[in-house]
Amino acid sequence: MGRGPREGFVRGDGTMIRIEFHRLRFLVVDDNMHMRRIVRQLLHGFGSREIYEAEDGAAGLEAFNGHNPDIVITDWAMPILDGLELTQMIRKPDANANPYVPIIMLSGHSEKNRVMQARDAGVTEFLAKPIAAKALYERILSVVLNPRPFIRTATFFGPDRRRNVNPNYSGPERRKGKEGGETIPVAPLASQVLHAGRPPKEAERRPAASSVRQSPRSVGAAS
Amino acid sequence: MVKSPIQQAEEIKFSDHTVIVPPHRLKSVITHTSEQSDYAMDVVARAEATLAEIKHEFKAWMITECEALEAARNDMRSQGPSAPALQKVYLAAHEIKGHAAVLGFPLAGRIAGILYRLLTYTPDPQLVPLAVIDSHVDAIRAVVREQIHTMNDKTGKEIFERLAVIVENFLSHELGDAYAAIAGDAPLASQTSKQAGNK
Repeated sequence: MGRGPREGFVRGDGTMIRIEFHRLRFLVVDDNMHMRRIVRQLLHGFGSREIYEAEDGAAGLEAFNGHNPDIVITDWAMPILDGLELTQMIRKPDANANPYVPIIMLSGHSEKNRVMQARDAGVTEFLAKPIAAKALYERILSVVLNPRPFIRTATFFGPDRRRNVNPNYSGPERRKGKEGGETIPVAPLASQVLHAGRPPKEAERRPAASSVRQSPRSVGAAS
Repeated sequence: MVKSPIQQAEEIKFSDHTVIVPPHRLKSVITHTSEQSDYAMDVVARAEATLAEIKHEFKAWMITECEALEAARNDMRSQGPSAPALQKVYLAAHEIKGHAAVLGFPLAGRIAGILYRLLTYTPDPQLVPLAVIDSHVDAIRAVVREQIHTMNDKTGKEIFERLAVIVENFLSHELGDAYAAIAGDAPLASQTSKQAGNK
């Protein structure tokens, strides 16, 4: 039985999954020093020790290249280079050492079109301000436990934008490479697992690339 | 030599896209343990407790944020409602909208949210009456000065609701039919949409 958003959750075999936060390296990019301090405090509370900060997107990009963080947490509205542009710079294939780094956007812009914009820029998770410890923890848990495959098209490079599968979907399958082709199954969100209060079933886990299988039809725009 | 994440990623090519499965770099920070430590503090509660350690600084931070908003408003008043001046007000309101609740002033955050909404959706921000912007700035200042830390303060709530109605009526008037697209997101949506619809 799962235990909710705690340090870990109990799996079916009785073992507990935990995140060793002290081994995670974070980069926090926000032009507001108060918010940087708040995020730092929360990360410290989770157990993180290695936290780098930058006060705008340009400094954030420099810090990203210099410190190679495991997770980037960025604000949106910032001078010089905003969080969206920072994300696009990081996601440039072949321009950085790790274009796949999980990016959590922490923003006061919570309108739906803004969230879609962030997603389309390559953001991994979106967290609307005001920030809460639980919500931040769940986003981190999600990117650590369930990394999504990346999609590259002529106009997009970023984490797979499809999060759900709809078994009743009957429209065209835009993600298929060919008639009757294969699709990549969508990983369940860690938060969904936690909210459901149960460990993930084996069948729900994202398979390795070598075990790509036929999946239920998907919902949402193809990447 | 250690391969980079790019070198380690597996690619599956399709006709119009490529699916890339990067290496699970963070797998090593996931541990499995049979330990059932009841005494272990909930990690979220622990983070909240760590945040509470700096709570004594929050009021000063909130005052700083209010001063930034007030300075932006004063600049706008002295220089006229130019686009850059309005942008400063918009950004200051945006900051308070996002931070005030964490700093212990949720009502101030909600009022800033109304001002942010007004400046986000109005077709021409320069047509926004300065008195409406003033009312928001002054209300936020008052909430912080009076140390209103809940959403249930009677006077604070009344001010919030009144400002929400003023803004929704203004947006409804300025946007016309297009207002319907944002009406559902309005604070107090059920009340304000009824009033806007009766206009």
